[in-house]
Amino acid sequence: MSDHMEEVIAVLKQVDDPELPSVSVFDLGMVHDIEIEKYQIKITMVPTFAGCPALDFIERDVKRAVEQLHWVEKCDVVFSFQYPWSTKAITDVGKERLKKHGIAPPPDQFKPGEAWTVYCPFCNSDYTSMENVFGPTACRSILYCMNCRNPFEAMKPVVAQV
Amino acid sequence: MIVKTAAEAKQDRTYIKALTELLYQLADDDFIVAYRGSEWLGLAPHIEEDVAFSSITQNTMGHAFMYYQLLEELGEGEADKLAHERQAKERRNAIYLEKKNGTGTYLENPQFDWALTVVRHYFYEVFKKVKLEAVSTSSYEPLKLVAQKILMEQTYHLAHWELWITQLIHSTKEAKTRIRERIVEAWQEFGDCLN
Repeated sequence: MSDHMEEVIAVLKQVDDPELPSVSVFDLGMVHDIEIEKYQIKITMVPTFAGCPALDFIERDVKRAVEQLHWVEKCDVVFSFQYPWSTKAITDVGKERLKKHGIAPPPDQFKPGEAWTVYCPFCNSDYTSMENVFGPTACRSILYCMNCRNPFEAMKPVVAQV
Repeated sequence: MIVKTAAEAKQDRTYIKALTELLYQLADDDFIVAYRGSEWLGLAPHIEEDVAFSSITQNTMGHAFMYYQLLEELGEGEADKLAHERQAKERRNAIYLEKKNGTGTYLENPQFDWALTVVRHYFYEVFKKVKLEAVSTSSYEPLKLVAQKILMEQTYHLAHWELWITQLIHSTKEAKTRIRERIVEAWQEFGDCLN
């Protein structure tokens, strides 16, 4: 990997999702492709949920952050549906960061339509209950831990069906 | 046949005509359902429902936006204008989906009917799933990918309304009666969605 590519990736690991502070767009698996043509950069990203209202902010934040690299003249950011995002794209670092933020990461194994177990991000108990599949953002649910008596959130599992 | 880009689609007049017609139907149906849903904001039966319903509505509006974007790429005009500035007679959504939530308006004395909403959204989401499964095999690749993406999210919407209709139909006499009346109505009027 070129030094420039490494630098860009390092920057992307610092750009947080506006609705998930402390979790970077890189660790959420939203960066699909980075093209570097001398001093011009094109980043292709995949949106998490289609109706996510944060996309414009993410585009702005990524562009701004990458353009701060002294050698970069211009950075274009495009969203593509060519590569559907699924919760499997979240990195291990991303999963740990989500937990720190009080959000349980999505399950590793999940079949659409089937029940799934959510572990409390605070005490790791599986004695939890789903209070509302829908939470403060499209990608999150609201749960309650019967063990440590804390409310918490979880990322909804989203995987391809066809 | 696989059509990969808007430019390719535009080469064939019959194809582009059929494609834009389908896209307008998909876009306008999602748009009007999300519009009627948005009118419940703050008025849903309880706060958890308000969170859930507004999330579903926001996401459904996002789906409409994706279709309008595909239309924009095909040269039909700006997505925002397609969504907001077309006249009633140009809209391709089903009339049943337009039906007002109840009497009054959002701001003045809203007397909305939850039974209508539960039945309408349940019917719509069942239909949307079937339609999306078909569209997921579309020859127009940009549409195929959008449909596959929406299907991944829509499963939560359908599950939500399925839960509501199941609970209400097994609830009090009043709930049963009101749900049943709206089902009879939907049975008569929903055909428009398939047209």
